[in-house]
Order: sequence, then structure tokens, then C-alpha cells
Amino acid sequence: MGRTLPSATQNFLLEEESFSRFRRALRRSDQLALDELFVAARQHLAAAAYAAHALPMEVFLLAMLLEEHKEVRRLRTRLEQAETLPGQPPPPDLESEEDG
Amino acid sequence: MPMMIHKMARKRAGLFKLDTALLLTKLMITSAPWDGKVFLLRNDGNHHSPLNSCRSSPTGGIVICRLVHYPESMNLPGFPLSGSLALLIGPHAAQARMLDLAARLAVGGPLRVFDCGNRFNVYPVARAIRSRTADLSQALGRIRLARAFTCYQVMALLEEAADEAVSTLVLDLLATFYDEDVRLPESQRLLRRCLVQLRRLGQAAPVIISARPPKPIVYAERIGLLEALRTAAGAVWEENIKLADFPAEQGPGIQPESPPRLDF
Repeated sequence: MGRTLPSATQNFLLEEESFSRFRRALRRSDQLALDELFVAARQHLAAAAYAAHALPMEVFLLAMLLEEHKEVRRLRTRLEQAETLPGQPPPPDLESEEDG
Repeated sequence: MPMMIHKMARKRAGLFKLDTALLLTKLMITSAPWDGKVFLLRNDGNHHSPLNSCRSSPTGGIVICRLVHYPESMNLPGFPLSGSLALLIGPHAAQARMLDLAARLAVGGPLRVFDCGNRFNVYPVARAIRSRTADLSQALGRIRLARAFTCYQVMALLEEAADEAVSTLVLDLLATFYDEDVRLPESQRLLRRCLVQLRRLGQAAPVIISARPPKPIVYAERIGLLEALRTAAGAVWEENIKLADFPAEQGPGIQPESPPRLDF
């Protein structure tokens, strides 16, 4: 009988491919950031498949937003922990942490 | 062209009774991907300048028709009316255009889709609908989809389809008829029965069929099926080719290289 509907993974790859021109026009650092967004959305493909939304890209965007919010919450927690410990040296800069 | 369409619609309105004419109008407006000017035609043959809204007359029949405008190479001068079959031929059975057409029609009213070649992908249709209206779920809900995976199922699908005033799209009608496992005489017999049913369905509302040429391996044997379908259609458009075989406007179409013509 054959598949009658593309899978969530196929939809994701198609959507990612549809942004290839946009990605190509970005600076290298922006390309890497965009790739990270798509990688983040990949973590929720199973949920996207289960959602069976008529517009899959909206679900992928929500998944990206979800991961970004999780990162914001993690950073906020770290900041709060750092602020509540007087006398302690400030936490190292995040960028230098990633470079190191 | 608007005058020609109006005359055709007038013929179908019978005695120009107001209710018949308005019903036909409703079919034409809600079934077609209308875009463009609105012309008002009274039954005395005169047509007025373009209007922005529809009006009815207390006397006689009024037929209102809007020009349809497709972008790119499918700039159709008019939308097929009930009583005729429209045929789109393209390399992939004009899939992209048919899906876009499905989206346009679904925005305006109910739509029936017979997918005979696994061509219907709801995601492009949803995107196209979303670009036209915010009410995505309601528009999608207007689409009734039925799939067939063998030519026998295609025939059964069409025979069991009710006569409804609902536009019908038939995607890749001949896909299963090209199957080498089905003997050619059998394919021809089934296609004949399908064409009868399509004409029946076309009496109530526009029927738009898409098809593709057969693959090279079966081209010589099966091209007659496409030719038979082309003959049965009232209007034929070929993708990436100028308009062909529509009244008052002729254009060249892609012709196969001297295939053997099979009696059908």
C-alpha cells in the first residue's frame, strides 16, 4: 500500500532544507547558532509525530523555543545561586567556559 | 471569455429561473478558486462592468461569474463548469498545482478528493490554506479524501461516489491503470467505466482530473489510456505548456512521438 503521509523526520528534513538558502546567507557564527536550533528541535521529533499537527513547522519552532527556555531557566538558576552566595567569586563567564 | 462562460452557464440554468441561476452561481463561486473581477450578466445577454459584489435581480435569471487567474503557466481563462471534465497533465500528475488547487477550493467550500496515485500530501495543502485564511482546521475539515491503490478500487470509488454539488479533484487518475500486472484490455475496460462515472459526477459540479504520461517502459502500450482520457475531457491543460484544447484559445501541447494509437 505504501506510506501516504511523510514521517515527522521527513517533514523535519524538508523544513530544514527549505531554510538552506537563508542559512547560506548568514554569517558563519549565525549558521552555527541556527544549526543548534535545529538540533534542539530534533530532540522532540517523537512528540511532534504524536502531535500530528497540520503545520509541522509550528511544532518544530515550539520545540526550539522549548529548548531555549530550558537553557534560560538553567542560566537563571545558576545566576540566582551565584547571587545568594556572598563573598564567593562571581561565576566564570559562560563564553570563556565554552572556549575552555 | 467571461461572456462565453456566462452563456454556457445560462444554458445550464435552463429557463433562467432565479433559483436555478443562483444555485449555479453558488456552485461556481464556492467551487472555484475565484480571484479577479466580478461580472454581472443578465439573461438578455448584456453584461455590466465589473462589480465588487454579487447582486440578484427580481426578474429573470442572473448569472454571476468571476474570472479566475492562475499564476505562472496555468493562466486559465475560465474555470470549468459543471458538465465538463477538466484534465491537467504533468510529469508528476501536476501534483503541486492540484494540491494548491485543493487548498484554494477548500477555503471556499466543501471539496472531494479522490487520490488515485498517492499524490495527496496534506502538509502542502495546509500551508497553502494557512496562507489564505487563519481558519485552518475548518478549511481542512471541508476536504473529504478517499484513496485508491488499484484500478479496481478507482472504479469502485467512482461508482460509489454520490452525485453531489461538491467540486471533485481526481489526482493521478491513471497511475494504477499503467500497472503492467493489469492487462491492457482490462485497464481499458475499467477506464471506460471510470469515465462514465466521472461524466456523471461532472454533471453536478466541476471535476478536475490530473494525470501523467506513462513511464517509458510501458509508454508504447499504455499511452492510449491517456489519449482516451484526453479525448473525454472537455478542457485539457498541460503543465509548463500553453493552454491547450480550451474553447476560443488554442495552444500547443506536448505530443508523444508517434505512439501506436490503440482503439478504445
